[in-house]
Amino acid sequence: MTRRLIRALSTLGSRRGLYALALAAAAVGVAVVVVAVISQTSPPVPSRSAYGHLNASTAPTPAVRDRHTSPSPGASHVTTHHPTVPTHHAPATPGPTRQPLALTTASPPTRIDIPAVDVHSDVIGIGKTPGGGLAVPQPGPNLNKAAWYTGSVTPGQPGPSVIEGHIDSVYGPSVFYRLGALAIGDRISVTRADGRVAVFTVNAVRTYPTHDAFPTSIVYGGDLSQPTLRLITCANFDEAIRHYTGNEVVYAHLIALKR
Amino acid sequence: MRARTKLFAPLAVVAVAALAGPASTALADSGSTTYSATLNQINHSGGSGMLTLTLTGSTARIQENWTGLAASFGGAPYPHVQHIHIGAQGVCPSTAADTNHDGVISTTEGASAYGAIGTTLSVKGDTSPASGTNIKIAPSGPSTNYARTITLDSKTIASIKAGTAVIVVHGLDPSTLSKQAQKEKSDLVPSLPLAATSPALCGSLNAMPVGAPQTGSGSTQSIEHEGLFGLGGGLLVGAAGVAIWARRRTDKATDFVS
Repeated sequence: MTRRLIRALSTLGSRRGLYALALAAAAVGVAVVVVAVISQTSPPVPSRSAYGHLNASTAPTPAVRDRHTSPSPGASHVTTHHPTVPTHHAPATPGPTRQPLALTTASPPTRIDIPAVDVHSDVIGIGKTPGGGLAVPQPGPNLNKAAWYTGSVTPGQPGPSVIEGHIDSVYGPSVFYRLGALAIGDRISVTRADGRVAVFTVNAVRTYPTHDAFPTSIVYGGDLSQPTLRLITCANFDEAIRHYTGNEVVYAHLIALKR
Repeated sequence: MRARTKLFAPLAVVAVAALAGPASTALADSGSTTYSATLNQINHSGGSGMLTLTLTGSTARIQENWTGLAASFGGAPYPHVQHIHIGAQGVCPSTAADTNHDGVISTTEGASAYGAIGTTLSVKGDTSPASGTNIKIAPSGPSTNYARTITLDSKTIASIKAGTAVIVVHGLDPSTLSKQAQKEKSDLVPSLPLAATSPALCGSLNAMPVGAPQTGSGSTQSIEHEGLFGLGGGLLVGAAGVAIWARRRTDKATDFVS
């Protein structure tokens, strides 16, 4: 191709040379477009619009999950999960009154791992915008990191702990790009600065089609008695305005605490 | 060649269109504001909790949960007086607030951080500062599930809106205090020990985020790598242009029949 281009340039002015130049430019152009097309990312997986129960206390982790629905020979596509026995209770549970599973010390999250959708990210702290909305990670080293709302409880404390992440950025897929593929029973591990790991399980997934439909009092509030986790990202892309008009929220509750 | 030009043109158009930015959306507004506070332990109380307060006019709907506090006091469920403190910095005190170095941040020592009592979060009856140490109407025991709708006074409302309101739950297990502190009397109610009225949980009351977070650019929904499409499209358009030019030259030439 380079040789052809050089030859085209050396014979510039001749008819053949011009055609050769045009051909070379066209070939390079086609190649570039092909590369661009191949490197396109498919849109994120949309979640089921209403899936599971928001109230974790009335919805214990189902034993059956329906993620892997493609049957493969010799392998059951319905997996049974037994609740994980917590390795560490805090505090210890003496006497007949069983202490609820919770951490009473605050410690900000540093890392989130969601093996089911291959999310492994550092977690930064994030506050509110001057307008009072939840800020989002800005372009720079933190753009594609998950962000914990510093006004929410730290993971493992009673109450909803809120972690958000971009679904995509101008550079392509972001940390919560595959959040819509999460299913009931999937595990979310959040590591805190004090080394404790709070393990949550998904009990509901909700897509709110418009930002107006976003239920702030449920997402940031709701049941305050149990340690829960909310994962938030954007959803519902509108081709007409070329923007996400809604949000996806994954509701999870604490099932185990680890060192 | 002209046919090829027509083929390439849409690519250039796509490349240009892909550069157009997304539109912004407006946020909704409503008549009430919801605030929340994470109640973290203070004085090593071992407790944790959360409170939400939805303010509509002067009516406050309060929901609160806490756990892990001292369970009993003199054989009875431990009363934990709790308040909305107002009018100071709107923060919880650090250990530096323990100015007499007895290991306990007393309610008075913490006041420069969280201020005075604005509203008493009693389980029934009076909610004024006057009932601030009335243990008969305070929640009691190691944990609580509190839900009450009350009317707030103008001072408390102003402090909440200014971001200087702090939720404080009081009452420590005396056995967790230093020997010195165990002997001390309460700075608020001298007939009670220091542990009874000292802060156990504290949290600033802040407005919940409004609206929904904008966590996407839509890049994976539209055309990515616009630059590559632009370059490729540009090269193709250029190629077509050169070809057309070459063809025009040959049209003028007499020694060539197309």
